Amino acid sequence: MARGGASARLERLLSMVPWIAERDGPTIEEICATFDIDRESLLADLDVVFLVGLHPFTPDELVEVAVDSNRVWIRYAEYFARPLRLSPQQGLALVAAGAGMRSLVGVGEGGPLDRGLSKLAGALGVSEGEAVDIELDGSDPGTLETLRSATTDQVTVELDYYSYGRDERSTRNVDPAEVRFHDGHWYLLGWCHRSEADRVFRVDRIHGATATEQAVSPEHLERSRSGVGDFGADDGHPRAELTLAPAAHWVIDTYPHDSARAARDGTISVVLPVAGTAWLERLLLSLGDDVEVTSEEHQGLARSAAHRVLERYR
Amino acid sequence: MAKLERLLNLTAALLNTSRPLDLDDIYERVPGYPENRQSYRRAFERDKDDLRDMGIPIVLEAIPQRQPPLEGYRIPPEEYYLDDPGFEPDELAALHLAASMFRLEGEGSDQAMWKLGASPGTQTTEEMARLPDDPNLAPLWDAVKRERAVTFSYKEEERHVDPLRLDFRRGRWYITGFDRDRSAERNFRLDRIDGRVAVSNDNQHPDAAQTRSHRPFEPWRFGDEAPVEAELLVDAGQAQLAASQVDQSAAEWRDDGSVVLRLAVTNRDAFRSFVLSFLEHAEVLAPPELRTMMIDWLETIDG
Repeated sequence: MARGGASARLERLLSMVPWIAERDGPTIEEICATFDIDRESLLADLDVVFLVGLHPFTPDELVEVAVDSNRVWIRYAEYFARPLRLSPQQGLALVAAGAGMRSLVGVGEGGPLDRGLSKLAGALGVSEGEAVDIELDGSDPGTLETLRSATTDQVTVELDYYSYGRDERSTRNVDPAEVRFHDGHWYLLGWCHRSEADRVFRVDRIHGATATEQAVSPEHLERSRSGVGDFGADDGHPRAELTLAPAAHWVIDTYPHDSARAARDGTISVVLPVAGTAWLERLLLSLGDDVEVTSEEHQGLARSAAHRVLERYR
Repeated sequence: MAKLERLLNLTAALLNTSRPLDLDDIYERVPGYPENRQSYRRAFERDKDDLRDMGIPIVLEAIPQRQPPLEGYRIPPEEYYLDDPGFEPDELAALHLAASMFRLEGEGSDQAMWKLGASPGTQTTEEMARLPDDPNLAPLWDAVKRERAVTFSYKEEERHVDPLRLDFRRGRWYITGFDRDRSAERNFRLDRIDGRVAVSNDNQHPDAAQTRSHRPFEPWRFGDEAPVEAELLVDAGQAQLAASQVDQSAAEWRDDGSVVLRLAVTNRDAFRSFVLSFLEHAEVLAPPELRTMMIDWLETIDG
């Protein structure tokens, strides 16, 4: 819902006027910080409030605004004494943020967030924790917390990590640069001591994380922050070329790819990076007949994987 | 800005009246409208739409004791004003922090914090996660809140649903609700809903509330096939990863660290993809029907 200038300013004013009126001359700086507005725009908006009032607009029916060099007072704005209620979108934004925060830090009984959310739920008329459920991914809140504090404290973490692409588990020491939620999953970005390179780790595949006492190396941190930010760390991966039947076209929407070309028969040829053999095996097994592998080096991959899985059923 | 001034005065006039105001009243009480009657009406209609878009509840009502009958506008104060939730400063600070770390796309959290009067000095921190917006998100949330039934088109079929909960899973929004035509709980992906959701004035079906439940995201339940209970064995190396994706009561741990998952399947394709994601580290134990499905599928690939 993109709104024009006047509506956006009005919305801000309807919140700002009661806020100022309730306080004894807050400073202009405070107001600007709270309502994310610069001094010039604030003064322009207050100029408008000078002209607001009720018919017949005699002085006693006008809102009184006083501005000195540093502070603002508003009086006689009874009809704007309380802000407008939250719109559905605004209520949702707060409830969702609270639910997201809880999925990150766990539920702390009686903490300020819990108390705040339960009051908010009451004001919105919803049952707390029932109307919206946010699960960012299956990551363990304890692991996330360990990674977040290690990132803040700038110490190396030791990870027990399952590499989905290669289908193997290993222990790695990582200098954490950032923890970020991206496209449905939490990731740890950092410098991997074992690979001596920047790596991106999916947090739900970390079986355990322990913060060490070892301080991270500043060069690593600097590199990681600039290096892996775009998650485009697939440049070095080999490419597979696949022909997708219509039922498999979702692959295009789901995975990054270099190119996709539609053919007349309704199939799409796609070239995509392969993070690891196991990753491609899974994709091919789940697509079954709806995919044909055209790249030379991946011929026979699906067959051998299917063969290995079938062994379990014999 | 003349328009801003007019909108503020219009809001004040409509809030501060005991009876609905007709067009003449509004013209008299709110300065800044054009003199020409036609232009005035057009300008007023636009202002009214702008205010309603902001969520300001302008109602049209019959003016009492008016002959001939005439309708007028007002803003019912009880619908306009925010109910003060009575936040303590630390509660507001915690909400503010959450709202800056978890941001729903589109406008929302900043404006909400203004209204709640977040005090300055509350630290804002780096955004960690961005939740995507969807045109149907706010209407569905409103329907959940007010317990209203909704209608929408999904997979080229009209669905009648009592929405119970919004779920955010793996980067996508879902609505969980009671599907009236199927008399059962169903999940729908918001980005698969065609067009806009229509929110009705109907209250929710009495059966709806009874189906309220919390379940993790389980794609093998997203379907209408004849239900079957599957037993899936996952080896120790991947047991934890597998168990984190299902309801905990469905997981039975074995001494060797492996796990057996008991899953209600109504979408066999999705179940098969889930099983195959573990490659040779998992095996469907039962029922024979699903074992056969796995074997047939793999044999086709194996040639």
